[in-house]
Amino acid sequence: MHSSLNRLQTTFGFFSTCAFTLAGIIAVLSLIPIPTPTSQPSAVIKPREVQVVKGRPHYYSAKREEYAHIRFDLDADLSPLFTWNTKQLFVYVTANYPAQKGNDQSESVIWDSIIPATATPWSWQSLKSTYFPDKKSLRVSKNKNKNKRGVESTTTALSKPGKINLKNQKPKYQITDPSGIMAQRQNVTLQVSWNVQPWVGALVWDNGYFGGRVGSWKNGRTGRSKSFDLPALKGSKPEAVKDPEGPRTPKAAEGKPITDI
Amino acid sequence: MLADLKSALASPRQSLQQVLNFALVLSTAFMLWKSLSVISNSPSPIVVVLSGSMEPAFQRGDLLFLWNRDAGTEVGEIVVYNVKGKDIPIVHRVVRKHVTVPVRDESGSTTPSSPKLLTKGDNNVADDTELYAKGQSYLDQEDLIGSVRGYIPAVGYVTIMLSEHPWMKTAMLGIMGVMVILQRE
Repeated sequence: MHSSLNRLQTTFGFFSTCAFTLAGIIAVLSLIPIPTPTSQPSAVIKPREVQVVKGRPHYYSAKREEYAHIRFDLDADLSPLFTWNTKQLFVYVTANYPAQKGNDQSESVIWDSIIPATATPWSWQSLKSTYFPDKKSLRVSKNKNKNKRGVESTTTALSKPGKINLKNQKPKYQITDPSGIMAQRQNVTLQVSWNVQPWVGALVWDNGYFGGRVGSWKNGRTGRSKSFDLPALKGSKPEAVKDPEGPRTPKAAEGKPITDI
Repeated sequence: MLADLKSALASPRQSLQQVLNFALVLSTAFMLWKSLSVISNSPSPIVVVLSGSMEPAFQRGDLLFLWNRDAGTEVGEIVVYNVKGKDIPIVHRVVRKHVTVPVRDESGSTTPSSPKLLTKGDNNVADDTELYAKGQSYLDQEDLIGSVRGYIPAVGYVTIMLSEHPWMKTAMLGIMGVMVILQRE
């Protein structure tokens, strides 16, 4: 009845119950706004330089499509989103434009970035880098101060995690449309969005269920740019406007009787 | 062991009850899993991350909870999809959503077509066009198994170890068998 196997089983069962309960409490606590957040995330984005060029999806494909290359300025402060349960923040900029008819929007990501949270002194990363450091980093950082951060962030000019300052940023991705037409599209807007990945629990998006509760945008700085139009194809004549809807089946010929009987 | 067999045959009702209890436990677990599938409208509501293409967000062995009841998928959501014709679920993020012009057929009615989606892993340089089936450049809503809503780190690593090192399965069964025999005595 009290054999060592039984004791082991009971201990392991108790441990897993405690661990799951703790994980559940952490997950719920990071969604409810207690204590109330003191500041809200804000972002201002502006398109700088827009070009539409002809290109191929990859080297061997035969079809040529039009790609839009949109450079932008981005000023964002997303530091309120970094709570004790934030593992990393995924920020992305999308270019949204409406389809030919109707209000539905096509959205394409032109730039994204992963901002990891700073590693706390007792976290796995910090402990690993103190006790099992990579030989490479030892050699390189002999003259520099030992950096507590184990992971490099990919956003430029970071003073504190979450503050982003980009000027005339080159986009990571050039975007196209399934129809292949991007030139002279109208009513295009840039939108900044974020996605918080927690250590444990539910993922939160800025336009998702908990987005407004965890971090609603500040008034006036919601990260949406004014709408702009894409220019004509670089180097093309201005009157060459292609049929934006792509090939359609021609309508059957209609004949009307000359006299009404 | 032979003594146990004799006692089992002597009281068949008790041993049958034990078998029934065991079957009840198994079927309860199975029904819990299936009802979770129904609630989340997904064939596989809990998945384990196998590859490192979403690092540093999801490491190998993380457990993901999926939800498939949303009408549409937004850009930036992390989705799990099956490549057409293959049974490998892939966890990546949606980077493009293109609304297509509805197709008009002969009778003049339009069928609303679902938006075309393109995915990409956070840790990959290129998007997933090469992973899709031949001739397929975008995903439809029906290709998705679900959208990731929450996760627990590192719990699923046991599953990965068992599937990648099948000798561990036999080793574990062997140890359990040895324990059972040793316990009787």
